[in-house]
Amino acid sequence: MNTYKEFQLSKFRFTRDDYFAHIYFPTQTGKEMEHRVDIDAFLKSLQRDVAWSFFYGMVKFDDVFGTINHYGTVEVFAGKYHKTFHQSGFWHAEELGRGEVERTFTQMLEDWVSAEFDPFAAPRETGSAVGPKRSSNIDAIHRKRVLTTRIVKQADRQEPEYPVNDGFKGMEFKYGEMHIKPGHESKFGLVNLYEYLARSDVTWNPSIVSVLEHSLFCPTTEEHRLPIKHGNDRVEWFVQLNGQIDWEVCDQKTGDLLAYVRMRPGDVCAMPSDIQHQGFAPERSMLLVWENADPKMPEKIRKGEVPGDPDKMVTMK
Amino acid sequence: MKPAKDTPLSASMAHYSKGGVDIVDPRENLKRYVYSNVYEIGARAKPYEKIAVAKNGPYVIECVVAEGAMAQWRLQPHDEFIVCLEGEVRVDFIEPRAEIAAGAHTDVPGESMGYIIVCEGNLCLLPKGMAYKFSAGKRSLLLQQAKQSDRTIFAWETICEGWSGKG
Repeated sequence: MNTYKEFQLSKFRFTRDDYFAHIYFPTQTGKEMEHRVDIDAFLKSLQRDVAWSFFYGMVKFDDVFGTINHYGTVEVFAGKYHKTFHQSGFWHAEELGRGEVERTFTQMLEDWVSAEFDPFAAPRETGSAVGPKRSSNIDAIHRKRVLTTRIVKQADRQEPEYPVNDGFKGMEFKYGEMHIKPGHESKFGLVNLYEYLARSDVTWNPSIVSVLEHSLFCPTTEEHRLPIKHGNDRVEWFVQLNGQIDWEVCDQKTGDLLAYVRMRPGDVCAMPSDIQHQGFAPERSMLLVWENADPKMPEKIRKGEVPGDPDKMVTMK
Repeated sequence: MKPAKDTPLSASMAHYSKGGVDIVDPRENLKRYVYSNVYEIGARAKPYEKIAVAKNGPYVIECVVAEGAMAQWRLQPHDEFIVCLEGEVRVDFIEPRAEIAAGAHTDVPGESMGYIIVCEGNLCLLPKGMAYKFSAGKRSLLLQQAKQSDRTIFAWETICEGWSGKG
């Protein structure tokens, strides 16, 4: 009988059944714990963790399990950043090689994601992740991300071009004009960013569109719920281009609720480096995420050279 | 504009509706979220003021209202980018004949490279070393991806919720 594979990552063990991913891990108490996550929620988080190469800082799949990117190595944890689990000793964490974690997680996606389920899609756009083992959805898992080192071009999109998403079909796209001296066009760049985003076939997946040294504009289209809780290791900024997103903000170390941030078109806010945030978007929306990709930034914040509090950062000389 | 199934909620300098920050844990501080709204800022700004709405190390996002012609050319030794949020802006370019200092210049000796019309929702590159000048027939709103300069205006107390004098 064809069944889902079981995976071992150092002392973590992963299995899945029709409805749940099961994560088994040793704890400080000596007792092994089993943690269950709804399979669609687990696969959506797993997909993003792999596609983002573990992103900036902490990617929490839920309140218990997740990873922290240390850029070369990855901390895989369970219970460590949950107040009760941590206080009771029911936690485990290991620092593992990035390649080892990436390989295991990718194999898990290849085996556990079924043909009709797309982990990057909004719920209304995809089939179900639940049920018995069947064929895989390799194309959806291994989408090529558009990368740019200066400014993105419409032509960078993979072929065939995606249609405008149903959530943006009523938008009127306005096209600029280039009147540049012949022979010099390549020095300049103009892209219809709104149309570019409207044609994105993924949600909650920032991609770089413009680069000023370490300053990266990473817009993304959002709908439903950000599958992960993101605890960045640096300050990041959001500009709501259209639509609406509400953010739940919690303490990164304990998961304690701190605030709700309600973003409407034109709203700008910063996310401090000591929190985790999860977004909820009732409609397809365009969000501009702004990152400082300076690789020394986490170390600078740790040493106190750069504040992790945005209000202190913006006022520092 | 109200959302529909196929059109997300949108705003303009004339019509915007801000969200907000609800602090749940009394130990948390509203100021930390540096929360503002670019349409609100744009509705009050003078043309071509470069008002920082975000800062991360040496980098900033500036809110710029374009209306009429910019008084001077500007040039930086690094790329910059603009996103047009409302209206339509023309960007003229001159490639300097010789290297000139970064910043604002009344005249730039060099070769005209032509111009780009940037409409709402467009992203445009302002190439390094290329002098540029904005102009707009009607009041328009830009976000500029830039580095902090002597022209950057910091007005957090005026634009942000929870800072003194606001919220």
